Amino acid sequence: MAQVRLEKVTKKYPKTEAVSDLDLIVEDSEFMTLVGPSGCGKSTTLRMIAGLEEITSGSLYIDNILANEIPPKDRSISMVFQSYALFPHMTVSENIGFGLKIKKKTREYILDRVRWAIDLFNLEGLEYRIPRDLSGGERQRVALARALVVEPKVLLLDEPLSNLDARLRLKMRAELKRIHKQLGATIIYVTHDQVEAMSLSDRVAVMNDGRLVQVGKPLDVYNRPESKFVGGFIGSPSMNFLDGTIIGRSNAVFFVTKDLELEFPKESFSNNFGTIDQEVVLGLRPEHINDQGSTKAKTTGTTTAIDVVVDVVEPLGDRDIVTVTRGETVLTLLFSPESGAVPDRPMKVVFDMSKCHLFDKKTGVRILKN
Amino acid sequence: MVIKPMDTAYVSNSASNAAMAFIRKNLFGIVILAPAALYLIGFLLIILYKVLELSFTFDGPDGTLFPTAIHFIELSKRSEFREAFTRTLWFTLIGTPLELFVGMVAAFLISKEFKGRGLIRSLFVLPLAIPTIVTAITLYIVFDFPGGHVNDLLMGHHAFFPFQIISYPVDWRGSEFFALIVSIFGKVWRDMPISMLIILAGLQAIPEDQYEAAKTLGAGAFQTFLKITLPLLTPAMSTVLVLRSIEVWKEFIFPFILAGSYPLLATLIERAYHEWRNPNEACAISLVLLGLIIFSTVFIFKTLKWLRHRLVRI
Amino acid sequence: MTTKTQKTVWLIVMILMVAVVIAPIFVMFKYSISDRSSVVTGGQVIPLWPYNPTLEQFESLLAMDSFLAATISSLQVALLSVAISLVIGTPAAFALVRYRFPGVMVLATLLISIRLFPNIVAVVPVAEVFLKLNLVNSVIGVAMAHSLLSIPYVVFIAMGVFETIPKDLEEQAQILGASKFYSFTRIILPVALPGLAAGAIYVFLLSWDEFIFSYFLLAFGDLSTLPVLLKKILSWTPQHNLLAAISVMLSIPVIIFTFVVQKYMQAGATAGAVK
Repeated sequence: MAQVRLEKVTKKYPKTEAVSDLDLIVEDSEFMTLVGPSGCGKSTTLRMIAGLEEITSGSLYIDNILANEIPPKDRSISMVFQSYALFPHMTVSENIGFGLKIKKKTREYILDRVRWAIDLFNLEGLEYRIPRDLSGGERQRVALARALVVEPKVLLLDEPLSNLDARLRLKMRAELKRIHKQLGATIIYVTHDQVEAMSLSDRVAVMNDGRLVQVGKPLDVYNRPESKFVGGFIGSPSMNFLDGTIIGRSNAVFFVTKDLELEFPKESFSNNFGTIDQEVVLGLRPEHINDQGSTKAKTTGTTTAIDVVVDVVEPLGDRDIVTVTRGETVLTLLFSPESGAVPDRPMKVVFDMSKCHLFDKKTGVRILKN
Repeated sequence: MVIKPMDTAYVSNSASNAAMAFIRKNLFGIVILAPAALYLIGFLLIILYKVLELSFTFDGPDGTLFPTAIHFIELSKRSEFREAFTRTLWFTLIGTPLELFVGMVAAFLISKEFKGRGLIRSLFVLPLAIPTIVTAITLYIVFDFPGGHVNDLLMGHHAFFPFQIISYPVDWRGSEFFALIVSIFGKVWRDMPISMLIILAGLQAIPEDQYEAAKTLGAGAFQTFLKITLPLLTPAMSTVLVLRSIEVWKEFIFPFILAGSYPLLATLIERAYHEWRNPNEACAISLVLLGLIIFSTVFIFKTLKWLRHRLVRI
Repeated sequence: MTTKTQKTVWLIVMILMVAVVIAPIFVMFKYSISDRSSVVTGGQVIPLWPYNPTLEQFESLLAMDSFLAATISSLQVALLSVAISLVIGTPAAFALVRYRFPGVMVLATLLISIRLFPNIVAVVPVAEVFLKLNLVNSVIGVAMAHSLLSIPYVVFIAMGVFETIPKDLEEQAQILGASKFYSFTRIILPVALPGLAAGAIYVFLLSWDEFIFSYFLLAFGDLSTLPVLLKKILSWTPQHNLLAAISVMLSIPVIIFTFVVQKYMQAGATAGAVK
């Protein structure tokens, strides 16, 4: 297994720049996820690592070897496509053994490896089926088996779960985690689904507009987004953003918008952010605004409750997504089902300001240094 | 651990090796594309060169080629050429609009859903499936003289058609007028499916709500046809006119079999080549025909464009 | 115009049209099974259905050397031209679909629209060149001429087929270590086979029907394809039922296959028309 290192990697097309100055190190045996909205350049990055796209400038190292000019087949990588790209005229066994056959391995070796892969992915009994006769999940497993049977140093996965239904997706997620643990492969995984990214990866790399905007462990990225974009992209439902001003008043610091006035807890503002009277964007995750009666609200330490009007309640079972309004401000909140939120009724909520994020209004860059 | 050259950022397509990089990257594509490109374009160039060489040169006594316009001059003196020229004009002037008209009639007949539509549609495509030479020969038999089916029919010999249109059998192939009419009939019969399919595609591209809108505005069937269908169908009709006119200009088989004594330019090429044993004049006729085709295509194209402009403005 | 008169007009035109379309085909079949007395009537009206339907004509065809020879030549020419045009045209179509280097679209348009070049203009130069190359009166010569007509169609049809094959398949094969040639022959071609088969049939029919090039290349030799044989027989004023029998033999494979590959046939016939 191997480390993958990208240095100032750029991909230019005649009219656009798909990836700009990307610096990223994927450590040996790491499960790294490239995540971002569609068109952010994550797939292009993956395809450059695979060798399917030429690198316009910059360097790509696989296992410390400059790989820019190495053809895909000699990069010791494997890739699973979103469409699985199973060869429709070959059986499951032939599909899995294809890579080995091309590498002119002996028949015994191929049979042995194919058997291993079939065991690994529970494909017994399907050896002689053709892809058309397989279910979506089975196709997915064949594609993975075909990619792993050649013992790649790096496994590249391009949105491999997006064609599966929700239930299968969960199952395959667990499967992928198991495979990663069992084989210790370096895996680079591309998805636009941030939940997938969070739940699978050792680290996530968030991309936007061809640029890498943040790399880190899933929880770190979740808890400390470096920009408004990351804050909004990671987490579901999305982070609430409020435009407002920081105002110092009688020994306390407030965040003030047209509809709201929120006090920062004393310990959090003392030396963490400088400018009073600065226009900022405040980000607060749905789970950090709680209804006054809940136990969570009591532990936050903030006592001032804010009056809001419930707009919509979407029950998820274990919790409710509640949309509330105050004046022109719309907030999305996560309540437990016991909260008793009823559409069109007023209620009181408590903002856990110790969990808030502040971003520069113009650049979207994180201000709060906590 | 890092070796020096690897440290410098790799930049592809530096000006000096751009061409090499291009070839290397596309080598497989170039290699598999080359045979077809060379074969077709090579042949096209040879054909063009040969046509020009044969039409514009003659063999000197010592085997050298001299440039000359003599073949065209000789040709213009031949009454056969002048007659063929006129016939070809008539053939095209009648044949092309007729192909459009018949194609439209067929397309309109099957444009609306009805029971057995699929069958009728397949039936209307059938002429395309009959080899042209077979159609020509069948018409040769049907329009035979004195005892052919058409003569029998028109003389009222059949119970289902008890009208006597003619009292003596017509020698269809022996009359310039009728021979050309029968040839046009054959050509239109054979090509009808193509015009029909193009028009049908055009018709199906017209959204249904256009008709409904017209109907709610109180337009009658005829008005709807005139104001909605026809204007929206002009692109398809233009396509038929341009493509079919080329086909009609160069039609060979029907006049060759059915109007052997009254050659068009296309069949005159055969006569020049086989009977006069004069490939030079055969090529000269070919060039005249090619010129006519190009001229008429450009002309129809421009006219249609101008017409469409006018239609839009009104 | 009321709806009722509209419907009546529609029906009348429909009947007329169907009659005109069917009549020649019917007559051809009728003559092919006609006995002698139904053809040579001595001035009497020719019957619409033969007095004594018979398969005699077909039997005599099977005993007719020139017919058998022409059938074999037609098959040879058609198969050879299919082979040439597939071997040359299919890879080119693949390149035109997958390689987007500058000028490739121009080349594609050029290759496909070469078929618009009037065959009657090309026929004398081709005959003259082939005469020098000793390709006149030969199966190879006719097949080459036919392949000139069919390669553009193969390119057109095969491009359509390749466009439906996802690029992922090749990229996957490439990553797994297959060369471009290997993935083209072992992955792409097998997947494209059904579509290419339809193209092959279309091109076969194109050659099977073709008259103009065949006639200019074979007019004075011993070798004939079926269409040329028909024309050669015509010049010694044969009985109509013999002509009709050959016509039927010539038409049957075309009619059958046309309905098999109707979709592609129409695409070919209206190629470039519907965009």
